[in-house]
This record gives sequence, structure tokens and C-alpha cells, in this order.
Amino acid sequence: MTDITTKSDGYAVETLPGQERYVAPIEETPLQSVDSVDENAPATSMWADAWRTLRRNPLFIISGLLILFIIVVAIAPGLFTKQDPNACDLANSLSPASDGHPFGYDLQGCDVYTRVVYGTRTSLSVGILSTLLVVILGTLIGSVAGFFGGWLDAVLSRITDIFFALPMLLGAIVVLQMFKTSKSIWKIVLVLALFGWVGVARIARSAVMESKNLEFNTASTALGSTPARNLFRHILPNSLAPIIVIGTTSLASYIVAEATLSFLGVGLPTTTVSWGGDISSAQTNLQTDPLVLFYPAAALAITVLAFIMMGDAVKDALDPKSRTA
Amino acid sequence: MKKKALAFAAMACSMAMLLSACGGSSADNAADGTTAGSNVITAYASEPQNPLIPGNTNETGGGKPGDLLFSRLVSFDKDGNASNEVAESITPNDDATQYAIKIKDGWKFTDGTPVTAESFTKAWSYVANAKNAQKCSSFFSTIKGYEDLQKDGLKGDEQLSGLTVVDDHTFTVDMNQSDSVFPIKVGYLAFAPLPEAFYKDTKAFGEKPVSNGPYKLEKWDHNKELVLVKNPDYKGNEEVKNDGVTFKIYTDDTAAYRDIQAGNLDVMESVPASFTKTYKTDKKIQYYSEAGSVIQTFTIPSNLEHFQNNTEEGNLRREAISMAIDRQQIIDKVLNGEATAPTDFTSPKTPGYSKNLKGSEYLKYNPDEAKKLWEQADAISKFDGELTFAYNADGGAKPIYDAVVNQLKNNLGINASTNPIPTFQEFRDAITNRQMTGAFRTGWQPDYPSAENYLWQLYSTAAADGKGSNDGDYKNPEFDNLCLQAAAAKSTDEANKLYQQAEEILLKDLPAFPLYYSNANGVASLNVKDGFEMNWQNLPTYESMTKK
Amino acid sequence: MGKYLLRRILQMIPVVLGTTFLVYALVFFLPGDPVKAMFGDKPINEAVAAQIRAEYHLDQPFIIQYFIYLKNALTLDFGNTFAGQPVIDEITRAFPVTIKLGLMAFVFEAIFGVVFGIISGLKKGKWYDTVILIVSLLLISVPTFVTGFVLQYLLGIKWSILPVTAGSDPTFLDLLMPAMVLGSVSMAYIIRLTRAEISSNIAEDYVRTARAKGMGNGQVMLRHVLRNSLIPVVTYLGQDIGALMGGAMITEQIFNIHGIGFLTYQSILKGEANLVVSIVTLLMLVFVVCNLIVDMLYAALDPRIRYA
Repeated sequence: MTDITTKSDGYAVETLPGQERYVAPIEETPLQSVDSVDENAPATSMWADAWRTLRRNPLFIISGLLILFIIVVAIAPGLFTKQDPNACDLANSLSPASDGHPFGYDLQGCDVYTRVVYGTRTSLSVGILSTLLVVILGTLIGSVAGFFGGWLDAVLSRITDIFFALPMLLGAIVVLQMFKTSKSIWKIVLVLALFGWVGVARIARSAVMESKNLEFNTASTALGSTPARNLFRHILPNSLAPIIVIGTTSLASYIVAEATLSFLGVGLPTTTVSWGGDISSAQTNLQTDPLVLFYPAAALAITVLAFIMMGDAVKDALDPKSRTA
Repeated sequence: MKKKALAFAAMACSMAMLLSACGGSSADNAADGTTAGSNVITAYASEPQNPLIPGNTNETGGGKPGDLLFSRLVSFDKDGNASNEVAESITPNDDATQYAIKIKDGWKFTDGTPVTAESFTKAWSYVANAKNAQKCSSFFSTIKGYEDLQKDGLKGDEQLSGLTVVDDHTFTVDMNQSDSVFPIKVGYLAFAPLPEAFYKDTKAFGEKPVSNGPYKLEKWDHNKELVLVKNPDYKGNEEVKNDGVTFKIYTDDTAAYRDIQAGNLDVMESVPASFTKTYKTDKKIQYYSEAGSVIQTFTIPSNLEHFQNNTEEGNLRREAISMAIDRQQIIDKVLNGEATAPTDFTSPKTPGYSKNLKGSEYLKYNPDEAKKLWEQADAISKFDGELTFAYNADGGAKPIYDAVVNQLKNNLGINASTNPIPTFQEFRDAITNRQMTGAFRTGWQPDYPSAENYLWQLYSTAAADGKGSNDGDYKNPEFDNLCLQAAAAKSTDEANKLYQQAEEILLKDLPAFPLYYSNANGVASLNVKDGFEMNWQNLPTYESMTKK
Repeated sequence: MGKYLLRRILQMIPVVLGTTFLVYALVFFLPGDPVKAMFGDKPINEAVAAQIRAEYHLDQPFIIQYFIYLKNALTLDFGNTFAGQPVIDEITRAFPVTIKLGLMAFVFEAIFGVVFGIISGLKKGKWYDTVILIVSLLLISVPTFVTGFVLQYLLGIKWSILPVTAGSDPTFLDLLMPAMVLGSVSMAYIIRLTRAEISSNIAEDYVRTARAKGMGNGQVMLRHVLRNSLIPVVTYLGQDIGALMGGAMITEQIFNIHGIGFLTYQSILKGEANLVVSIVTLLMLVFVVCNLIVDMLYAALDPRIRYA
């Protein structure tokens, strides 16, 4: 008395009398896709997951295109202007915009547009490299301190305290003095990283301390995972959100800090064009000629905006819980 | 850390010495009819870098109050003309190697003790004596016995052998060499008389000096203010028209300017770079701007390869560089007109200043000639290096040197760049150690109004090799000779003629390149009624100011 | 807990030694000669310079100088500045105003930062989230001196709402504008940080659970979301209060505040080792204490974090 229904995929399902009244045929159930496990599919990592999400996020696409554009400007400024950023004639000092000079001239009679274009490379590389170095260094030190605790935490945290108290100006003058003849941006990156990592380290430490006690860590340990594997596979990725936020937000401050250092005479050679340097120079005439300051500042703000948007998108992708539907 | 802030740092660091404005006739200086406090001038200042001891004060923070507190043998009027103040007479012998000085009767310190000949001789010996570590000691180097006071093992109370007290009101000064400028030099703050109380407790004195000038110190609230009140016993050349001057310590000149706009501060002796374009039309303030006594230059070391002073190639290059710079354009565009194009090596406020010296055409913009001279020099020996221009980055000089470098690149087609050095300290160290490998910023704020101060101190052989302020080690016997003749001259006019001849040599050799004379400019709040002017040291005439 | 505290206090000893040594070395290796600089561009009298060097032990090798400083510091004598003022007086004069300014900036950035951060985080993607993003972005990209200059002109000169500069013995009102300028950049960071944390926590299971159990929206926010979101924010605030105590070189200058930041800046420029080392050591102690408080707060905010 049993009727056998043969399913399209060939499996036979036996339906007992009366049962059909209570359970919908499985092909009509939306839960099917949830419950079905594709056992043949390759295991997807958290990163691959994140990438899948990112590809569909308009925030990511817009910021990605913007960053791509900024990178192109940084690599090939010659594509965007035919002028030399260091060719300046005092006779043009603070002249308004004219044909071929859409942003006008600065105090020294340099073309502001050309300088904004050429400043991209320095500012972007200082910003990105410093941020990367700071995030890597800070995350590493902070997470190790927060995860292992004990004397390691004590030592690392106290080193952090010392670095926090050090005035950057003092360290910068002394450190940069050692590389006085070098014209590379690495010396600036080094100084900014040397004084920047502490902030990220404290944040990373607290985030790791928070995640360390979450259930997935206990679960993973129960499954026989080593502490180091736990830290890098599970805890760190779960603690990245605040680090990414601080990282992308500080990008701007590193670009501005480069200017301050150059201004103090401890930075890059004065022939190097950078947004920060031009912002500093323009501040004297802020009241009468605010536009000279506006353009490099706007370039800086747009770049930072792109990176903050990118950071938000990446953060959301890594943290499935905060995904907006 | 930013430019405005740096401009301030520059002021604090510019260790130029300043004198007081002492002008007008001695008249009844009783200022009555106003309630206490209402006629007190508040003035912009920075914290003194040393205790308030005249011989140890060599920067503006201490110099401004110091000048108002202490009266010297002579005083200077607004334009820098000297007249006797505490001195009755200063009489030189024939070759200006000895002076007989008579002082006036009746001068008193604020503790009631009289100002005597010994008040001067003991004070001068104290400053000259190396044991006492007074920063102005080298001002006494022309007085006999100075060398003896620079040795090891001194106690500190040894006296200059060249000073002899004749009686309470007379003393004589024996010099090492002719020094016709001495009667002007003694108007410098380091030559102030000191009371006996000073030697009893120098530390307490440095905090609250006992003085003899137009004002006395009421209190010094560190990093906050110095309160000076009118000295009722003062009987000098100055007519004090207010009840006191309160120096307010500022971190930044822009903040001070804002306070003047808001009426919280009465007067300041500079215009921050951010306001040079607008201050003359600013309805919230009153201003003063005239050619001043500070000369800004840059120096190329005399022995710098391709630029040596005694070679034809070097001379051609120096002339070319000087003529490739459009000074007026820099003044107009970068300084917003707050300076005057130079024509000599002194300043428009210096006695003997001239616009028509032979060779002053080298200070005029002439790019074609410059290019030609540079090519001639290249024909002798090709220069393919980079000419760098060093300046201290904490002094706000960046836009000036950016402009100079751009003009040289455009007009001579050479490779030039700026070389900012973080601190004034490091900058001076590199200069005094002779480590500069290119041009560097120099400038001069006079100690006393005399061409000698601008020339002998900066370009004489005696001041080279680290023994003075001849930072480029320029040496020219012909120049030395003319200066020595001037020092022994009978009259100021004769001396100034000789100094002008000496300057013509400088214009030919260009050991340093005059860029501009900084304007004496300043602003005052609308509360100031009258008397707001600037003197020969680019400082306000504090004594003559009154309030509404 | 008591044992933990004691251990943290004992840890300060090597940290103080390390800091003083490091900073003394840095000042020592600052290029330039502070004594020569005292003479400006005037001739240097070598005999006088030697006297001054001897007075400040600058003629001694580095390690001796350091030990002299350390030895005197043990008796609470931190030496004199080149102007002849006791270092301790300079610091006690400058510190109160910096503390006042720092606390005001701290309260400003903490309150506005967290509030705007919450609004932004709860309503992600709404128009006011975008406005808050753009404003905080502006604050980050525009250097402090520009913010200060513009505010000074608008609020101080043009509309005369607030005092232009603070000056000596500043009142609450005098410090209001500098505190806003000083706190503005950190406020932007806190907004971003709070927003990120809130938006991540609001989707957590426990929130759903709490809601399912019938808890009110406000209750959920207060009792669960906020408490869980604040750990990184508290960390940031904790390190920021330390940084604020270090004074702000630029803000203090713009507003004529004679605080620790300006003092540090000046003493670095002049190569005043005694002053720089004393200030930095003091600040370091402030950081250690702040961090200690923050670590205690972690335990309070998150019961799972425990200190043995």
C-alpha cells in the first residue's frame, strides 16, 4: 500500500499515508538550498567568501575604481599634465585660474593643477606604505600581547607606553638625521611607522582580548587547533574591524604628517612635490587665497574618502554579521 | 610646528640684541590725571631666555624689557641718533684709544643707591670676566685687560685693567686699539650700570632687577607677563607718557595679532606672514610700516669651489647670481611689499647709508648680463654641480628661498635647490663648524646704530675663522684697512665716508648677497591713542605711547 | 586584582629607566650645539661657552651626563633650564592648563564622537550617516592649523562669540575653542570607530536573542550593543587622553596657551635635555596610569576578560 514516487534525480522517496498533508514536497521548500550541502565544492576560505561579497558591493566598486584612478595618476602623472611641477615663475604668483591652468597658481607662481597631479605619487606612497607598515607592525605586536597575555603582554605593553610618550618631533629629527643624504620616501615611512604602530597595537590588543574569549575559540581549541593557529586563523580575522577603521582613517594623517616633517626640514628634499607640502605652504595666504590650499586638500580628502569606503566594504565583507541585506 | 608657529620660533631664536628707543627731550614726565592701570600699555613679548641681567641678555625676549629698565651712558632717539643720558661727557683722546667719561650727578637706582663711576666699571668687568659666563662678554674685547679675564682659574671679581675710577663721577677707559664707535657702543644694553645689590645676590637680581631706567620691574610672572611700571625717580632723556608697560608672553605672533584685532593687546612689532596682505586695510587695528634696520642676506663661503672670492671665475659667478635675482619681485610677491630693495650692506636706518655706491648695480636685476657673466665663468671652468641654499626651517624663511632658487634656475639655467635645516641650533652649528657646502641664510640686526656694527663684525679678517660673525671667512686686507681708518676717524662723517668706500669693495667681491631690508612694521590696537611709532631697532616707541 | 595592580606598579621602574635613557640619548644626539646657539649669530666667546658647558655638565660624556641627571632626579632635583629656571617650576607652571585643555577636549570628543558614531552606526546608509561621514572626513583631511585659523577668524573675530586666544589663567570659555579644535580629529576617529563597532554588534546573535525575549529596543542598545561596542572605543579614548596630556604643540601655539606641548616644542628646539627628559618621563607615567585604568575598564565592560 505504498506508492513510490520517483523523483527526477532518481532517488525514491517513500511517503507514508497522511504524511503529505504535513510536509511540503522537498522541491517546494525554500530551505532546500540552505540544507543542501555541496560536498564536492572546494572549501571556501573566509577571504574567498569576503571577495565574493565584495564583488557585489557597490561601495567597493566605486572606491576601487577611484583608488585605481588615483594609482594611475600616481604612476603616470605625465598623462594628465604636460607641465613641470617645479617650473615656477614668481611673476605668476597667486594668479587666478586661466586657460590651461584650471586651478591657478600658488605663491611661488607654480601651476597648482600640475602640482596636485604630481603630488599624488609622494602622498599616496607615503600614506599607503606608512599605513601598511603601521597596521602590520601594530597588529602583530598588539595581537601577540593581547592573545598570550602574561609577561609578554607586560613587556610589549610597556614598550608601547614608552613610544607613546616620545615626542615625534624629537625622534623624527634624530632618526632622519641619520638618513640625511637619502632622498627616498622610505625614511619618512620609517619614522611615521616607528611612531604610529603604538596606536594600532593598543587597538589590536584590546580587540584580540575581546575575541579570545568568544565561543569559536574554545571550539577550535577543543578540535585540537594550536594557539598560534587560533590566533591567526580565527581570532585575528575576527578582530580586524577596528584595525581597518583606524588604518584607513589614519592614512590621511600620515599624508599630512609627511608635510609637517618636510616643513620642519627633516622630510623629503624640497624638490619633491607632495599634497601635504603644498597645503603647508598655502596656509600663509589662507585668508586671501584659500583656493591654493583647497585643491591639494580636496585631493587628499577624496583619496582618504576612497580608502575609508574601501575599508568599510572590506570590513563588512570580513564580518558577515554586519552585512547589510 | 607650522609656519606661523615657526615664525615665532624664529623670533625667539634670533638672538639679535636690541636697544631701547630713547628719544625726545627731557621734559616734565609726570603723568597725572589718569587712574592707575588705565594708561598701561600691553605689549607682545616672548619669555626672556636668560635672567634679566643686562650683560647676559642677547635676545629680544629679555632685550625689550631690559632696554626699558636700564639707562646707559648714552641713549638713542627714534632714528638712532645718540645723545648722552647718564653720561655728562665722553671725551676721546686723539686716536680714540682712551676715553674720559664723566657721569651726571643725581642718578639713582630703584633701591635708592646712587649711580656712580664704579656702578659702570664693576658692571663692565663683571660682564667681561669669563668666569661669570655672561653672553655679551665679547662686547668688551676692545677694552684693555679683556684677554686677562678670559683665562682659566678666575674668581669672577677681577677687574678690567683698562678701566680706572678717577672719582665718584669720573672714570677712564683704555682701549686695545682705536675705537671711534665706542661712544655709540656704550648705548648697548650690556654696558648698563649695576647697583651693589647685584653682586650680593645675582640670582635674585636676575628675577627682579634693581635698575635706573624709565621703568622698573614690578613682577615677572614666568611664561605669562612682565609688569613694568613707570620709575618716578627717572630723569633721563625719555618722556614717559604712560603709567607702565606690561609685556605679555605669547606662543605665536598670529595669536598676538588676533588679540590686537580683538583689543586684548595694545602693540606688537611684527606682522605675521598670514596678515601682511591684509593688515593695511584692517579696520580693527592701526599700523606702522617703514624701511627698517635689519638687513637680510645670504652668504656663499669665500672658499667654495667655483665661487672663490679671489678668483675671476668666483667673482663672475657671484656677480651673475646677484644680478639674476629680482629682489623687487620677491619683495612684492612673497613679502607683500614689507621690505625695501637693498643698495648697500647696512640699512636705510644706519647713519652713512647710501643709495649711490659704486657697484650697487650688482644688486639690481639684470638677467641678460647675469647669464653672460655666468657663461664667461663657465668658459673658465664649467660648473655642473648643484648650488644649495640652506636656511633654518624654524624661521619662516622657506618662501623667500624657494623664490630665490626658482629665479636662479629660470634666469641662469643652473641646478639649484633649497636645503632646509630643522632647527636654528643645528643651522648655526653647521655654519660655525664651517660645514656648509653651499649658500646659507645670513642677516643682521644691529646692536647699535653704526655702519661699523654691520661691516667690521661681519666681513673683517679679524671676525673670520670663527672669531666673530664673518661666517663666510671673507678676507680682504683692503677692506680691513678702510675699516680701521674709519675706526680711528675724527668725526662720524669722515668715518662714514671711509665705511662707504669699504662697502664698495664688498659690492665688488660680494662675500654676501644683500636680499632686502626688512621693514620696521608693527600693529597696535585701536585703544592706543597716540605715540605709536617704530624706532631704529624695529621696536615700538613704548615710552611715548598713550591709551584712550 | 590587588596583586595585579602591584605588579603593574612595579613594572613602572624599568619603564621609567628605559624612557629616561632613551630620551636623554635622543636629545644628546640632536644635531647642533645648544651652547653655541645661545650666542645666536654673534661671536661665540669660547671661555664663556666653556663655563656654561661646565655648569650644565655638557662637557661630560653622554653616560655621565645621564647618571648625573638620574642621581639628581632621585632627590627630586630635575635641574635647571638654560634660562636658569628650575625644570620642576617650568613643568608645574605648564601642566595645569594642559590638563584643563586636555580634559575639555576629551569630554568634547568622547561625547560627540560616541553620539554621532551611534547615530551613524544605527542608521547606516541614511543621509545623515553620509553627512557625518563627510564632516568627519573633512576634519581628518584638513590640518589642525587650518581648522584653528578658520575658527579663530569666524568665532573670535568676525562674530565675536568666543575669546580669540586663551592666554594665561584661561577660563572655561577661553579654552572652549582650543578644546574643540584639539578634539576634532580624534572625534572623527571615534565616530568612525563607534559606527563600525555598533553596526557589527547590532547583527550579533545575542541582540536577536534579546529582542526575541521581548526586550525593548533602548534596553537592547544600552545593555548589550553599547556595552559590547565600546571596548575598542575605550581603548582609543584611553590612549588619546594620554596623548592629550602630552599637550598639543600646534593648538597651544595658535591659541597662545603656555602648556606642556609648547614647552616640549621649545625645549626640543633648544636642546634642553633636562626639561625634555623630565616632561617625557612624566607623560609616560601618565600613559601607564591611563592604560591601567583602561585595562580595568575592559574587565568592567567585558566580564570574560579577567586579570589574575
